[in-house]
Amino acid sequence: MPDGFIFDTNRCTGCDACRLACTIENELRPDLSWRCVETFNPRHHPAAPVYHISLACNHCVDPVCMYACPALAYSRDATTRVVLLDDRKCMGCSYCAWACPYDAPVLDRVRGVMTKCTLCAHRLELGLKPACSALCPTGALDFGEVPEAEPPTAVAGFPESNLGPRVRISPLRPERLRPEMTAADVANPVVTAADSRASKISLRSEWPLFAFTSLAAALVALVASSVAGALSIKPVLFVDAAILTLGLGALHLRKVRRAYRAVLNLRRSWLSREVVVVSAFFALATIYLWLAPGLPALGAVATLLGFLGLLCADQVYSVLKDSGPAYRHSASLLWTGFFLTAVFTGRAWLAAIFGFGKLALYILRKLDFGFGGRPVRPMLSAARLGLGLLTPLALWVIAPVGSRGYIIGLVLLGELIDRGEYYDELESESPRRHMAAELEKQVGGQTRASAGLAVAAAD
Amino acid sequence: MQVHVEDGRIRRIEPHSGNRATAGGVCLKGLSYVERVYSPDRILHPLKRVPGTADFERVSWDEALTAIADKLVELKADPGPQSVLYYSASGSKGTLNRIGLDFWRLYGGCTTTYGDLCWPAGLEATRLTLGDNKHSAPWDIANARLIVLWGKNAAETNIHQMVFIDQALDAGAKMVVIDPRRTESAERATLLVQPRPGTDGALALAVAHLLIKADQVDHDFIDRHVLGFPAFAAMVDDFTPERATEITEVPVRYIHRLAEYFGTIEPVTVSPGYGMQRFTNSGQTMRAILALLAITGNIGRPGAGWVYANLQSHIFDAVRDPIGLYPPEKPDGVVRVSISTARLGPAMLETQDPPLRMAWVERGNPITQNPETNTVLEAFRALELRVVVDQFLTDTAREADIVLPAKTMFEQSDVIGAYWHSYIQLKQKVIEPPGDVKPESEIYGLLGQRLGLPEAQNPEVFPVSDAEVEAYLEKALEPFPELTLDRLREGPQPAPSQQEVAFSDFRFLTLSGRIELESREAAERWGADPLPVYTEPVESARRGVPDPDVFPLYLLTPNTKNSIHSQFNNLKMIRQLSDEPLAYIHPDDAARRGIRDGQWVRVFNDRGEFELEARLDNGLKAGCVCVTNGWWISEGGTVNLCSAARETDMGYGAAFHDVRVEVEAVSDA
Repeated sequence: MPDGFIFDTNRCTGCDACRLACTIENELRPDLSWRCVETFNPRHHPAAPVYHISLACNHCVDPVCMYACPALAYSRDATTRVVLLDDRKCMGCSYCAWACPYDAPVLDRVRGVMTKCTLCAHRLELGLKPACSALCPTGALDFGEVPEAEPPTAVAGFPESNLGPRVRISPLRPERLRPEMTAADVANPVVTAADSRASKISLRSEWPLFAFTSLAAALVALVASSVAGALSIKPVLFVDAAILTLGLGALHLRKVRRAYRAVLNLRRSWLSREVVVVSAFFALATIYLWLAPGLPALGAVATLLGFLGLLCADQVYSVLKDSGPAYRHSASLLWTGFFLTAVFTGRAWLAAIFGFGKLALYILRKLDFGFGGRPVRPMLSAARLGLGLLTPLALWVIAPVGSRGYIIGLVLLGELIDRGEYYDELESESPRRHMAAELEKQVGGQTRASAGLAVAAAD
Repeated sequence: MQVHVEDGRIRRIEPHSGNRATAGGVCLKGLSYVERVYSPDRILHPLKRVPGTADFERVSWDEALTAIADKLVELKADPGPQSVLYYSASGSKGTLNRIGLDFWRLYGGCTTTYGDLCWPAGLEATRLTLGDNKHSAPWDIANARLIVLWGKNAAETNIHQMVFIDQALDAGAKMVVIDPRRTESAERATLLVQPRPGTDGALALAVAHLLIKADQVDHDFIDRHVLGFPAFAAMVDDFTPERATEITEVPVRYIHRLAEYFGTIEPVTVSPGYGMQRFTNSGQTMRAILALLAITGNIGRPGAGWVYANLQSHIFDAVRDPIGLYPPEKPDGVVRVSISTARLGPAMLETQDPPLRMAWVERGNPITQNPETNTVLEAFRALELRVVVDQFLTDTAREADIVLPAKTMFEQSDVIGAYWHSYIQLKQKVIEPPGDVKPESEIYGLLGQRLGLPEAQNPEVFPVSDAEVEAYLEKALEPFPELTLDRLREGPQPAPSQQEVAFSDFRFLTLSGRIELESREAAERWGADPLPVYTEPVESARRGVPDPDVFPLYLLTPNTKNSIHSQFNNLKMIRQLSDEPLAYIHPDDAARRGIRDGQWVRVFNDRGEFELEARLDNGLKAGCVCVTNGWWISEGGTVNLCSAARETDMGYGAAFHDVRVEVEAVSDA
């Protein structure tokens, strides 16, 4: 294996010199660094040690960032095996950051592109070590031969993966675990900060994707219903809606002018596949609706492409290893597509299957959250299930005639709530989250002692 | 450090392998100079306040210096030159700094300060006990078997020491950290002793009590080198661990453990921090801790000793600190050394005959860094003219009428010493000063010309060109034949006659020539007990001052790795690491006050208040609240708004860690 970073938790004091060394050497904006230093147990819980891990890009043998990037902005140097990101090709979609469990790709908010560690390739050429390791004052961070046989590390905070990260991290020695303390009593210890488990993804940050995927699912269902003869769509409106949908999707990119690059990595990136298949669906469906409504075969192909596009869109989120597979989620676009088709076409048994299926998946998920200590948001759940599923299904039984408009309206509302929750609940891997979870495990019992708990206990 | 310059610009900063103490790397403050020099916030031109506003306008050197000179001429005539306060602190140290005082003497005099904010109580305690402030080479701590970081968080404030501590620990040494906080350094320790702030002396005396009771003292060493042991032993005879536990809140068993370590492990190095010598009782505290090393014979041997201040490189000082910080015994009538640095605000206001009318501030930021910020502000605002020389618009500069741009260390050569290692180093000029920046030597020369001082154009007094500066430095180096600029250009040079293992000759420059546990000078100079007895700090829960029900928390104001007091944390590079001031508070103390993590809180006492975000910290001793010092007023969290203008018991230090406060949640506005 080529050289990589070698890090000793016993030596690191968390001084952050490596981070500044990176900023300076790579002439980054002063508030940006490709290296981060994560702290285990930053609140000094008396039952756990405190240590740091300094991380940048590990230039993995299997670089998921490179595989995920739809724009082919990533490449790997043939000789040094350094994974490089060409920011002139980056569209700023952040998909690489979703995929990387080590938080190596860093968003440059000013320029709207991702940037990342180059292993100081310019220094390696001169026979120098990367700046961060050359300037570590305590010798905690070094650069050199990484033994291939050993596993990278068993240090909490370093997400284990099968990506082949080129890094070795030594855990704390037993005698270094933590000092005996003369004033260690804490009645209401704080374990982790409220934001230490924050995901990289939220509805607020990803609202264009929420809009794009929700509209796409609805349009696929509409076309399917139209092909089934249940309704007719005005081609002009469909084209407008399709353009709006693609436009909203592009809003997610920080470099919209480079949006064309989204289709370049069909071979590996679900994002490229999603963009290509959904676009093909829009094109075929437009031809079908406008020029060849009499060609049901064309309609069928368009519909098939539509559902395939939704499948691809679901799979985009499969890079988030901490989130479950899409098919297990009630807001899966494929299930939503099928459900909406059933509702639009008025096929009661199909609507019942997908409706109750979604209901079951939703309840299972929320139960899981409840047991795992994650927020359940009961009011939203009540709206999603009561208004968005049970009421329309009940209306269907009680008054199938005359309530179709209400049924469709309520179903759409329920689906939007679920999809919105989906983005807020997506879990992304990161060293900080890994550390927080591991700490909670180590100190035992207190699953998520937040500051609120401390106050509650005092009351 | 090595500074790499590309196309006239500093590109990167790396360690210099010729300095064995710091060869591993540069701390992040050092690295951040790459931004500091070129920061868009740096002052590059003289500035003058727009009358009646908080704004400044750019003016020419001529306009700025003429305005200052006019005022100086006026004040010299009436009420006299001593109505000018010359305040300089410890930023940008170097041999050329003496030019400032030289100028004011030529002007006819000034008023200036005595004492120091930093470390004089410890310096004086060390001087009284060992006779001199020096310690072994930084790497000698690797030879220690027991390391006690007493009130010191080297991992943040002395990162290079951690390298040698790690070497000792790798070789099997034990480390004890004594600190109310669970610091980064404490993570490497076997034991973290968390005393009530200001009570370290009591802890040391109880340890001494146990060592003497167990006869774990070095009688041979005591007989040969220690003065006052019998009196000391009698004094600690009733200083039992139980009594110390009551005072320090450290459980008895841990005091026994600490004594067992001191008594059974050798050699012992104690590296004390500066924080605990900023209390009203801290000279005696430091003497009490030093006594532990003296009675166990841990002085003058490899791996043993007191790593506090190493002034062996201060070769240019006529008298070595702390004496150099004291008012002269015979005032010369020209420079009036009458203002206590610790009491800057009140002392400025109290000054008469003549009263202060103008201040010239350089290399310092007294408004946030001296105790009792509100009084310091009042005193500065009472003046007629304020001139501040600085690189940035600090809180002090913002109060000025005229701000003059200061050089950075890369813009004029100078010869510097240190206070941890004992290298003499040449700090070479590597770039031209940007904008209109002029080094102080030139500023004073130009000002002198406007005042018609005959020496103003003498390069031996006010060197301006690079050649003149080098000639000036060569002259300063003349008494030391082994040191020339050419030698220094090759790299750091050990200070002449520096000791690798301090006191290895067992020569102690005390009055008795021995290590003095009992000091007559302590009594005569400071009115202190000749023995290092324990007294409570002025602000103490046990003393009931202030009322513990009203101000129940100790305010700890340590330094962080991210800044040197109020320097560096205005840089974006530093802000990416720590973007705002935080009040660390124990979760139980927070719960009692209904304070949630991340909530906005008010820290206050009867001297002042500030608001900032609370952060719960299990590792902090309950009863303390901790805010790192150095935040600007504009950033919130200026801790000296709450501190008191008081001196330490000896050394004219600032006892601004003697502070009690209350913290309350601020409702979301």
